[in-house]
Amino acid sequence: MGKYIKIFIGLLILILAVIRFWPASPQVLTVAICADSYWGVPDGHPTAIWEKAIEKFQTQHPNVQVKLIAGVQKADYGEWLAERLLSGQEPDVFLIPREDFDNYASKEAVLPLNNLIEADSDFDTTLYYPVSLQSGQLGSTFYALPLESVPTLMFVNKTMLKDYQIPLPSPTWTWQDFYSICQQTTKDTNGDGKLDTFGAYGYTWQQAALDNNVLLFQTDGNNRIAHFEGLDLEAAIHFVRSLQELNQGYRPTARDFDLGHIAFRPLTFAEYRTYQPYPWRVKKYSSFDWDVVPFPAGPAGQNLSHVDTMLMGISRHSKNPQLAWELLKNFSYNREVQQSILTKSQGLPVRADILTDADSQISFQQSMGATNQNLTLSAVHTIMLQAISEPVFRQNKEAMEKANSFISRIIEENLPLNNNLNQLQREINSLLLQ
Amino acid sequence: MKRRNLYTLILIITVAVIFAVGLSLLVFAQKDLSLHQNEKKTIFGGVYMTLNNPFYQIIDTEMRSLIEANNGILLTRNPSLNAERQQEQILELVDLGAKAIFVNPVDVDNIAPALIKAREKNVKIIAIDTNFPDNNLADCTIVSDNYLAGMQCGQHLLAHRNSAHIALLTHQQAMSAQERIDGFRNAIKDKSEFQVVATEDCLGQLELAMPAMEKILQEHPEVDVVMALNDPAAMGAVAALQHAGRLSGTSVYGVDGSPDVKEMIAHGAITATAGQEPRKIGILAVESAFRLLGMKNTLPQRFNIDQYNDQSVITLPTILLTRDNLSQHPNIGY
Repeated sequence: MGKYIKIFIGLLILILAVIRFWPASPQVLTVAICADSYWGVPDGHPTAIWEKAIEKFQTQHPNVQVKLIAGVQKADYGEWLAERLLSGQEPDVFLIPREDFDNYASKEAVLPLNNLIEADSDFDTTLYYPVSLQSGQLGSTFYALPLESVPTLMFVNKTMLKDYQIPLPSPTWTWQDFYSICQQTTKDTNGDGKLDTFGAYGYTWQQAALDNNVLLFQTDGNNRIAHFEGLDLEAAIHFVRSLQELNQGYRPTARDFDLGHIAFRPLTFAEYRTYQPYPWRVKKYSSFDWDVVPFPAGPAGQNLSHVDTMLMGISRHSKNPQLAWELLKNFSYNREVQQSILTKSQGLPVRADILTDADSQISFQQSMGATNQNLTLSAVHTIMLQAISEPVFRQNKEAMEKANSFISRIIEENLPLNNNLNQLQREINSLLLQ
Repeated sequence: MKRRNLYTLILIITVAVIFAVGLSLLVFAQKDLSLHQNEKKTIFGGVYMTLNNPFYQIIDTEMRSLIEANNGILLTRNPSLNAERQQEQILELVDLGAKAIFVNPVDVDNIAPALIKAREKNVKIIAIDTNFPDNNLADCTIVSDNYLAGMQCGQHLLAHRNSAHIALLTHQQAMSAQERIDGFRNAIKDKSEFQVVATEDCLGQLELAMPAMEKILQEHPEVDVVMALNDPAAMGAVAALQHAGRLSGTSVYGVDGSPDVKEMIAHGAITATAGQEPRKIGILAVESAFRLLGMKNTLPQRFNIDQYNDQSVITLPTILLTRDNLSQHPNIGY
């Protein structure tokens, strides 16, 4: 009987080994993105660019089948991905929500890319906008590559400025210019004793801080440091307060802005790209002429924009990381795919050489239709080169909520700053240590 | 080898194969270890033709809040008008343990295989905003009276113009859209002064309706009335007309009652829209699902589901919203 047991065990091991290591044919790569626009704007076919990129990849890799998972809305995508990662069932290549990147990277839940980057002689990191590429880095390690970036810009109601005979701000305008225009546009136009037009809506103390060279959070490796004290932040808070005081207690609303009664409002490039040309122009701001300009520089700062970046990484469990890298590179680095973002998406390519290309300017203008826009790609290129991407991490949301509630109260209630900011700084730094 | 030994060997090989396959399934198969599996909540699925249309976003939000208030989870999928992807999503939701799935089909003629598979696993199917050609595919259907919606637009047109050269913006794959256009056509069918001169499919999408309308304006410059299957398509038509400087003098009709279109009606850019009630559709869909699953809604009922007497098809009337009556119907549309 011993002989039969040996045969049985031998067969069992053999069959188990065959089942475990039988090569899958053809090779299948899965890739996940969200079903709707990453930038929160209307888009009838937000996956079109990536579907086309997959087609191109499959032509070059005929033995590889790429399966696109794109049914979950962005609002649910973070939870969906977390569940997949928890159960080890994540796709080979997947979109990483910006707010989860730090968590996944610090726990190495996604594959570090440095070895793949170093081994790839066809890959040149210097072609990317530094601000876009750095969004996928934690310390010196890359955990994701950027797909698209979107800076925030300043919307300007050109019709209103024209009515008040005020010239359009220059790209290097300052807080002084900004305040002066707001002062001139805050008016009671019909003489009923109430203000009807206003200077700015939604210009926050956080944006003012950036414009005055204050980076609220910085990372040094795994350490995060908050900067909530200093004269530059105080100046930003005072400036936002002075803008609000122009409104004499009235709080302008989004509807005032939609009706064309406000001169300035921060707006993302994706919103500009969507609503400036037809057909979506019909939905918003169609009753007046408008454009975008860089943000005004504070006395200590420059004309800076905040930039958000869409990131994609590779699963640690991918059975074929090299192939997954090729696919990721196809999305993030392939010139043709990145070029198509300019005309088919609402974001910006992350490769700087695309925005400086003369053909890109022509195709961008064509895709924007015959609208009378001021913004050129070379201006956007300059904005992207200077733009800032503040780190997003686990405690960051809570810290910002705390800071926002604290500073908004100071602004709204006209409270003295004294040493309140030092206290806030201490509280936030202790929160970051938790 | 003796015959007895041969039989024993065959038996051992068979047992080993069965044992190995069983073991490998246990060890290597991808198990669903999702967070939801550990929660004792009833899972519902929602699959709409596209969530790029705010109409379905409103329905989804309403359903989610009611389901979550009753210890359930709504897993939403967006096929972005891809019929094949929608079928996969329905099967994925079945695999994830959905007890009921709310479906608004991309292609009403090709969705049956996925629905049949779901129903074989005892998953309840609630059709949203459309009928199926075969009513047996759904356990319950919540729908606006789409034929009436088109009819109301047509009747308004007859009452306010003496003649018209009409362009139709359609979505042939959607039964609800077909019914709206049928209703409109029937309202004007005996009036020779009211001629449909052009028809273009735009999938009910704003960005596709604009080029479709531009094509119509080029080929039929005489067009002075547009009947669009829904509000996004009506706005796409307005974009094309505005861009071409043709909006003034052209009447545009839509169906839905979206905030943007109501605003445009108030400003005269759109003539009328047949207002639906997406929030009510969402609530009645969830109430119907609860009834089918034997669950009880613990929240106070906002619409009395009992009045529908276990109907498998619940049809809600539409109300035509015009500049004159907008303020009288703040709850119609969304």
